[in-house]
Formats: sequence, structure tokens, C-alpha cells
Amino acid sequence: MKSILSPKRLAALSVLTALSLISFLIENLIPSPFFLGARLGIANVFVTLVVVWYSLPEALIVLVAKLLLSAAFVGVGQLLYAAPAGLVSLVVTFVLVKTLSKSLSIVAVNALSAVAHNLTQLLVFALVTNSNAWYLAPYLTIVGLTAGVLTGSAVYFTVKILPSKLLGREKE
Amino acid sequence: MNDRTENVKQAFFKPFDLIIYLIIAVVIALSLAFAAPKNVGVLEASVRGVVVLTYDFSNKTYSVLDGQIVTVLSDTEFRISVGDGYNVVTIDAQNNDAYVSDSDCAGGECKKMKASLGSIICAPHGLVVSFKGASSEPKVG
Repeated sequence: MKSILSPKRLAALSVLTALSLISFLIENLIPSPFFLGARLGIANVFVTLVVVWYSLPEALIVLVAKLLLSAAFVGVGQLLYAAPAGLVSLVVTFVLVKTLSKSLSIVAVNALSAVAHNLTQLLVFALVTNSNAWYLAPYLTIVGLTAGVLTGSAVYFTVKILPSKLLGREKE
Repeated sequence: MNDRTENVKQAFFKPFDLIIYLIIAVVIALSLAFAAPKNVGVLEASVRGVVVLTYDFSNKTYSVLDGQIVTVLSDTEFRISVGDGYNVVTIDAQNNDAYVSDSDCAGGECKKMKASLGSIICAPHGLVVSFKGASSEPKVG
């Protein structure tokens, strides 16, 4: 039976998932430089790379795997916020990269995606606690913009520098 | 290699990026305009949306609405139990403020916040401490 994913691509996705998980765990160990525990989200660099190099289903696999594995390490409680925010962020990234990547840089795409990520977490928090937490939106938007530009830059330079024959992409 | 990869490689900055940054600037401006907090003298502590404690700064009195969750440690210190965890909310009556002096939540971010800056939020415990009427009603969602 022929597998949908070639062994090389499966290995590449596994490596990217592992890198995403490891960067999340390392970032989690370092005290947040921002208020409210907001972080850079280096793990999203690897999910965005999958969107750019491969496809949405494969990015979804990496995201879900990273979410489930991270829950095993830091607890399932964080999934309440991380899962919807990660999904929204992934959809925003995919739609923009798929439709507007000729006109938009990956840095701007990642900036908007990170802002959407933070505002989704805020929305979930407001719904769960039934609280008026919207005054935090400007702060979280600015943090998202900063983080998105930095991680977007990382994606840009990775795609530009890394040889295309790596990670099972040579036949595309 | 696919078209997306080639497009991403093209440039670090593209002119249409400005539209994205403009959208983000508008989001920041709108949220600043509509979501500014304002303090009105009565502090509320709620757990998962249910108010369990209020403190009136005008006459320095408190009201415990759920004795099973709130333990009064002193006139200005209240232990709020959430499942297996807890937060100790301390009132700074002189400065019309409140803060979390102790908590066993992961990260302990709530201990860095002050009610006067908007709300104290402990996401792991679902605790929110804010002035009654602080911040406008949600304008989004």
C-alpha cells in the first residue's frame, strides 16, 4: 500500500514537529519578557515553514502533534487557549500565503497571524471567565506584532538560506 | 519547489505589507478607544465568571459571596481557593488598589499585575479581580 507521505517527507515533518515542541518547551522554561506571560512563539516558525514548504493538511498534522505533545509536558489546561489560537493563526497564515504571497512578505503575514493568535486567546479567556478583558487587546496586539515580525523574519531567512533539496521537497 | 516558497523568498518587505501594518494599527487604535479601563471604587473578584468577593474602597468594607471559595485572612487579605489551587488577594486600601500576594498557579503571572492597571487575571485558575465596571463591555465578539 502506497503511503500518502513519502518516508523522506514524513521524516522532515517529524523533525519540524520535534523542533517546534523543543522550542516551545525551552521558551516555556524562560520567564516571559512580556506582561501576561506573552511569548515570542518560536514554535510557530516551524508550523509556518510547513505551510510554506508543504501544505495545509501537513501543517495541521504538525500543529496538532505539537499541541498534544506539549500538553503531555506542561498539562492539558493550556490547550484551551493554545488550540483555538493555533488553529486561527494557521488558517490566517495559510490563506494569506496561498492567495497573497506574491504581494505580501512572510514577515507581514506572520505579524497578522500572531496578532490573530493573541486576540483569539483573549477572546477565549473573555468567554471562559465571562470577564471584560478587552482592555488588554491593544497590549496583546502590539506584542503579537513584535513577535510576528521577529518570527516572520526567522521564517524568511530559513526559507531563503536552507537548500531546497533538504526536507523532501526536491520533487515538487 | 512550489510557488509559495519562491514567493516567500522574493523579498523581506513588499509594498503591500503596509496594508497589513495599517490594519494592525487600526486594531490597536480601535481597541484603545473602546476598551480603556476606568476605576469606580468597588472591587470584584470572580472565579470563572462568578463573583465571589467584593471590596468597597469608599467605606473599606468587604462582602464574601461564596464562603466555600473565599477565606478571610484579615480585613485586607482574602484567600481564594480554586480546585486544588489558590490565590491570595491583598487589598491596598490606601492606594485604592489590589494585588495577588501569593498564588500557586503555573507561571505566577497574576502576581505581577495590579487591579489599578485594569484587571488582575489568573488564567490557570480562571480568577479575575477588577473594579466593578472597569473596562467597557466587550465591544468585540
